[in-house]
Amino acid sequence: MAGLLALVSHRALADDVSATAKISDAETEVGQAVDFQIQTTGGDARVPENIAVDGLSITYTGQSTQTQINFGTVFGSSGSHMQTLNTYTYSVVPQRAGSFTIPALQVEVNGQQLATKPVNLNVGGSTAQNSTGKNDLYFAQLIIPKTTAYIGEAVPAEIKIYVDGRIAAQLAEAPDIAVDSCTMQPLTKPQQTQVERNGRVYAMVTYKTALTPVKAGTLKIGPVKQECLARIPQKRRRGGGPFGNPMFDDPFFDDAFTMMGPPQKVTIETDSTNLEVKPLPSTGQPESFAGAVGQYTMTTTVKPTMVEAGDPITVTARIAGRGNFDRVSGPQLTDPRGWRVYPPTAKFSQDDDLGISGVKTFDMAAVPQEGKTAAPELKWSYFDPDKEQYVTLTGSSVPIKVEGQIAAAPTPAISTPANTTANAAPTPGAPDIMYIRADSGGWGETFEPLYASRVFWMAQAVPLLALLGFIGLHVRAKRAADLPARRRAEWRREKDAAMDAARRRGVPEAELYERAAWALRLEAAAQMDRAPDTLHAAEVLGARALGAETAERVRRLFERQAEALYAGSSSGARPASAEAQADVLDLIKKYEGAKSVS
Amino acid sequence: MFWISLKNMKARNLSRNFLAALTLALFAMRGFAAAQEVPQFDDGNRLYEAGKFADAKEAYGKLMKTGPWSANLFYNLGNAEWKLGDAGQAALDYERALALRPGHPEARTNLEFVRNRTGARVFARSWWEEWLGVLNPTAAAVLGALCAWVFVFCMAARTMKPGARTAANIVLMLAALLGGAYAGGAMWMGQTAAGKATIIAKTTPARVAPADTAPAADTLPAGSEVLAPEARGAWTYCTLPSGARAWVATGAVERVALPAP
Repeated sequence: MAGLLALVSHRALADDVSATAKISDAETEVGQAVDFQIQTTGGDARVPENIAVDGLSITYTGQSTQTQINFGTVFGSSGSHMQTLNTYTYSVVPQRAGSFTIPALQVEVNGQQLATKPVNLNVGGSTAQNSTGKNDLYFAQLIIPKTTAYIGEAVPAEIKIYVDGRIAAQLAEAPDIAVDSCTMQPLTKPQQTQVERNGRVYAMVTYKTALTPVKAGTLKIGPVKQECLARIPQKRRRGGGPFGNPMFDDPFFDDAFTMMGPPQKVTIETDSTNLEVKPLPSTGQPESFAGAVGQYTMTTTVKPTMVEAGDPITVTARIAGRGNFDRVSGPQLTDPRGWRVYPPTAKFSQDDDLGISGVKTFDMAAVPQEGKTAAPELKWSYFDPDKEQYVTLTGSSVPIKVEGQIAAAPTPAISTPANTTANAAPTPGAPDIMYIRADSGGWGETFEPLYASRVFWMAQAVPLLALLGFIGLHVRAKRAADLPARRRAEWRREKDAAMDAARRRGVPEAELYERAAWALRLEAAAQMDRAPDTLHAAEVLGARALGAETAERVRRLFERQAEALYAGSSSGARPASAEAQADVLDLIKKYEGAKSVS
Repeated sequence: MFWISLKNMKARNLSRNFLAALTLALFAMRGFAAAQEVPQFDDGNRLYEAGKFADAKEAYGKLMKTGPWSANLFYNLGNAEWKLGDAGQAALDYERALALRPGHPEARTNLEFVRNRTGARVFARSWWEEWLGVLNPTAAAVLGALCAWVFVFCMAARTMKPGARTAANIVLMLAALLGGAYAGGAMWMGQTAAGKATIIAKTTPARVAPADTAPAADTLPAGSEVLAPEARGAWTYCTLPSGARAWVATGAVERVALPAP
């Protein structure tokens, strides 16, 4: 087996290298895809990714490999021969009718440079061809309503892109417009609708913009290029049909069996167009002209209409119309004498998508320096491209009442940081301010908030201490209320200690009786709530209801304790017998178990 | 007397006695402050009454630099400035009087008068902002502390003395909570007001950039309010009554709050 593989490998390496090109159908129609293939033998090949032929859209779709093992005589020697066939396939979609030639292509196979033969393709024009011979599957139009314009004039432009309704197309972000010597408004958002043209349904995408020429002369606008990714339907070729049944050749099945081709990148392009741009007339240009070109109207309003000299009024100018609003600046005063004017604020409200139609409002603060009977008159100029002349608009004179006079010298139109001192005097006889306060109302006030001062927070120590004192007093009172219980608990602990000592092995007799008597006193003290060292033996006996024998034993216990304590008996030092210890402990147990006597 | 009550008091009376003592102490301090004699103020008043407004302004101004301060000092100073035709500075000093004593009726009236005359722009205030602004920050701090301690003492009493768990205790705690919330709001308002400034120049253009050639964002007459002024040399960046942020000449705007003299 290994020998066979080695032989096959040896033969394979010895294959001839070759590269051939062929097309699936030499005749087709506009929009109907055919396959173009490059087949190579003799090893891996490198084929061109892009093939450019004017009128054909050629897209690489993939590769397949076939391996054949032939048995027989090869080159005069007998044995097996293995051949590998690589096929590289391209989809070719004709965009217009005519005869096309896919030229010879350079292919590199196993390190060798080979060339394919040219391939011819005839494209009929019945499927999609318009009167201009251009592609009807997709096309675009650049619409500019004027052929002449003035420098600064806003010229609207519209781009319409048509794509056959059967094509699945995905447009790139925005079309690319080749334009020079003019400014362009940003394109509006695309608007898509369906339209019918020449009996076909198209998806139409519309973009709008406005172009403003900045230079005189012939201005070339376009072409506009829109790139998109499209899947174009491929009609089934007649003459066979599925399963070789001629029934499927019926035109009824044309649409039903239409197949979408592979996605391919196509460029939809418009023609370019020329715009004659004329310079603005240099003669007759008004002083107030600042570059506005279009058709406009102006209205003015004033408020307030009754002020004193030195008090500002607001003059509002509304310039409405259609034109290059970006060049519309604020109006000027016809006669600025006696007025101090500040630069206006502007606000533009557009009526359309392009910003070439709307209303621009200017609010101008004007300060009368002397008595006036009318608001300042405004003037503003523009160039009308339809009338081909400059127009100066004048605002209507609004009557106002300005009283008083400012003694100060005229000041510059624009205030600066150095020019900031107010200087308005109240008018005698007019309503005035309230009179001063003779009382101080309380000194020591400060803008620093009280809570930001250290004293405030230190003062909080006083209530805090009071709170702690309150808590302390409460705890003390509670403890005082619990004193008897705590004392009883203490006596119980003492009694337990005495009992432990009495139980100790080898405890001296004197200590045994001493501890046992103390345990009985503590037991009685807990019951009577009295100090144990103040209790006599009789009181201990009386605290419990004892039988005569037990009472006698208790009495004897106290006598022995007294003997050991006061008689100086030497026997008290000797260790107590186990019987004596047991007897004493039994007695204490009986005493504890006896009923209390109140 | 206070010592005697301390000596004899029981735990349940501690909080009541403490609050009474605190109130007495505050009133005593206030009475002492009010009784203080400041001759410069009286001098300014006499000059004003004599129609010597420039001299009165100078007298009030000196006192303003050295202290002590009172709301009426700034109010009278504002009056003198108005009489001298300085509407912007007058509005600023009325604002200062109101910052020290929000309920100052004459300062409020005169400020409104001046602003109407100049066409000043001010920030719109809602009813609750007006309501919280009635209390000045100092009074708000005292009220807040008082309410907080009342609440704590009531809570302590409830915890330690079952007998104190009465309806009156609950009502007192709720009142303390409400009072504390109002005091907190008033302190917050005071904090906002501390960042307020007034346009003192006659008419000031507010520009979108700190340059004379920059486009004007607004035009502010004297007495207009701006907020959060941040001085950067000759220009100050601030919030305008329209809500926009813009630059005004530093010399044209002055903060309402002053550092202690």
